[in-house]
Amino acid sequence: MSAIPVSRRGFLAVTAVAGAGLVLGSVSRASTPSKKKGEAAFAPNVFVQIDPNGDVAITVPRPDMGQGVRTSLAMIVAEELGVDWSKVKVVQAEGDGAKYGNQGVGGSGSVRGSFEPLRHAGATAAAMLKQAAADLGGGSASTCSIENGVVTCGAKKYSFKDLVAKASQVPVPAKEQLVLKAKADYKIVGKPTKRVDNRDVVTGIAGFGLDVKLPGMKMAVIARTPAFGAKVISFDEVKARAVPGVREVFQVGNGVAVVADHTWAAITGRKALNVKWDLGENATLNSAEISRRMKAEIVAFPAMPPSASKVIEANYELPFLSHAPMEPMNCTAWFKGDSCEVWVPTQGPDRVRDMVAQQLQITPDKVKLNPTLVGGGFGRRLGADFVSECIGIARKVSFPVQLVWTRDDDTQHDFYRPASYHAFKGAIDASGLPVAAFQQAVLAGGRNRGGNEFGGLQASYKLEAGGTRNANAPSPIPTGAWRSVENTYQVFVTESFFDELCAAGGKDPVAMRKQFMTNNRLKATLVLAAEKAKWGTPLPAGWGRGVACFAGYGSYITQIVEVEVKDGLVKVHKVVAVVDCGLAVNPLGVEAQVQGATMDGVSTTLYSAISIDKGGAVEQHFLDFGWGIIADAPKMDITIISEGDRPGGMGEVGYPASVPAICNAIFAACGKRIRTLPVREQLA
Amino acid sequence: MAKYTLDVNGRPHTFEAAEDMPLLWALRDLIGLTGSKYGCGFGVCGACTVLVDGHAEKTCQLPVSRFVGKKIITIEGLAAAGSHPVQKAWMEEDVPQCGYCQGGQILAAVALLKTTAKPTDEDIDVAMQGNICRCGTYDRIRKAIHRAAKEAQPK
Repeated sequence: MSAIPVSRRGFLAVTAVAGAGLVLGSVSRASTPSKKKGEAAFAPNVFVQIDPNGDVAITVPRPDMGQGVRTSLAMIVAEELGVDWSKVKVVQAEGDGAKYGNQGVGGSGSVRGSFEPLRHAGATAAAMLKQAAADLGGGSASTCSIENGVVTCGAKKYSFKDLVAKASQVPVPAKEQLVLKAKADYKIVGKPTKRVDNRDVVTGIAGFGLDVKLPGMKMAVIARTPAFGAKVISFDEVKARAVPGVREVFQVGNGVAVVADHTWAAITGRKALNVKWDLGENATLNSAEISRRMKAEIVAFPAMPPSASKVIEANYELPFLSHAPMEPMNCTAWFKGDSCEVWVPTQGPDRVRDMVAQQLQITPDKVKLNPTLVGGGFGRRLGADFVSECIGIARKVSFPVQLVWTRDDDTQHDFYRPASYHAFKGAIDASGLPVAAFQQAVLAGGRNRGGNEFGGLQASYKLEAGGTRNANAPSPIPTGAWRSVENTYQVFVTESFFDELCAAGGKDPVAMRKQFMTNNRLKATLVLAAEKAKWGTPLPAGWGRGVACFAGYGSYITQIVEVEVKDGLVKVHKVVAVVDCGLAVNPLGVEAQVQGATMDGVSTTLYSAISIDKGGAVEQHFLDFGWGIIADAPKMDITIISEGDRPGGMGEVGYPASVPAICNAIFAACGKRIRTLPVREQLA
Repeated sequence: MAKYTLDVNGRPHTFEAAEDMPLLWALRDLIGLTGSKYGCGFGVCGACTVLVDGHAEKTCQLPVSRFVGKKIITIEGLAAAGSHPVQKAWMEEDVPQCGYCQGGQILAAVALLKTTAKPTDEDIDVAMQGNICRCGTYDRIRKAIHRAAKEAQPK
């Protein structure tokens, strides 16, 4: 095999290894600070660095998995700093919770959680630059202002470059002394802003986990259990080692690792392993059995209230879902005996660093954790199973190693959105108004929140009687957080059942929601969405409109969907969404999150399911799992209400209501109530 | 094992590889061009798309030998510094979310615009059906293709 040429990206990655002290993940070409040796930069905190030449680098604490935080978080700092946005370089923070605070990306919490700390970081630097200008010009800092990279004190103007040396000597002000900008004065926050990584992405040099190249690095794949809980009996090590390029073959965890010069040799070596498995106690488990176990958890409902005139019962069932990010799980690690460097697309760089240290029984300061760009997360990369595997391999070899999950590994060894079964019993009164909605929610495995006996009220609507009883059915299938977590199923079933109550009483779904909705911000999104979608106006034959609403993560959304049902197939033509997210830091990013989450809604409503057979997941890739293609994408009309002072979460908000809105539209179009997801052939 | 020479981004690259090695892994692991992405290995997602004599082709299954004597363009070789009209339109419409699939999407769009200068939404849906975007950027992909088509029209 000829030597592997050192690519430009490879060179960058090598530089990152060799350049001690550089703040550098291998995320982006644009992320290398240009600090020169021997000159002191102005760095009042870990998030802001202004070089002697005036260049501004902003360090973002959390990784970007497509939610756009490398842009939105940097905007927050830049706003308070008063810098020219086009001159900002964005640097990805290493995993280090003590230094950067919470670095996790999940729960739609990145912008919400980092908003105050990053405002303070920018404002601290701004206050010190103003003081430096005042000191230079002989005035008072209170008369200085800072905008677009220029500090103005009366008639005098200073660029950042003029102030770096002086500002470094100014004492860091206490948080209480900082004056934060008023929203009315924002120049960057709230303006539609394109992603800082766009150029790297469209030219193919953006650095994802699988793009990390290190000198002497080998590639690894793992032969994985065909059934959950299976164990290796034997494998053909000799045959695997005979594949040209294969270097190491050994058992790791519940599988067998093949380490090779390049990915294809590793994949070929894995095929040659011919692993014999003991399938274990789940060998006969399938989806039907899991469904049966969930249904077995249902108990009797409480009595309906005296006002109940007609009782409505409905049962819903949802499948396991894979996260299926485009970039499969991967991790690169280089264990050097007493220290370890890791490159990984992760949703929790701080936690992962500590986990690696614990696994290797070294202190966290001996672990350098470089978060790369993340080729999709959706909750999957909150887990660190793939990191743990990679460390398990790296500690057995003397060279850097990159663990690659193949697509079928990724689809078949996920922490799935749990399958669930929901039994509903509700009622309308003599005038057709909804009066009761009781639910029993059963998850397959997973962790059901609450566990109460019909204790909670319906989240969005105040009815006379109602509540949810939670239960779990035994299941060995690994489950985890999937974009919006419990809301993925809860909002589908509650917004669908409310629609059923409306239909049973002959009432308009928008009017009923307005009447029974308890939250005024949510109601405002409903009213505006109904207006924009021209709710109540006629549609062509075979078309229908559906509505659903969701409040969560500090934000509020209504989605109204137009579908056409023809020849048993559903076409989602249009989605009108109105979202109130408090303060939209980057409206372009907010819109993208609603577009993406709504597309998740289309895919998972119409097509997506992981099924279980012989104790393992059946599907292997995007198509048999059922992911939507461009022809499935509706036109979207998204309105953002940004009237608050603080941002709400946005990563997950667009998903929950999109699913029931589509199904309610299908009912309006053809009279068929979708109670089992996905729709697939149900309308044929 | 056999020796191959491929024309990638206008330059010859010579290497040894197993006869069944898909082009994708030669590009990524042997030539060091990581812009073409591994998404599935089943030929269903399109993240590995490159241009072969101007046509968009997936590279995660077809072996290297099938590409000998052909002109291969990867996303890195499309244009200097992102100056191709499709790349510019992609940035202007702020298409990428995670970005992982976008190199393949862009090359599929380039191939479409070569044969169909003014594509309709339907043309786009057909031509781009083999390129999955898990983040769901499809709405902006359509807008970016229309924008690129418009920019490329003589004024």
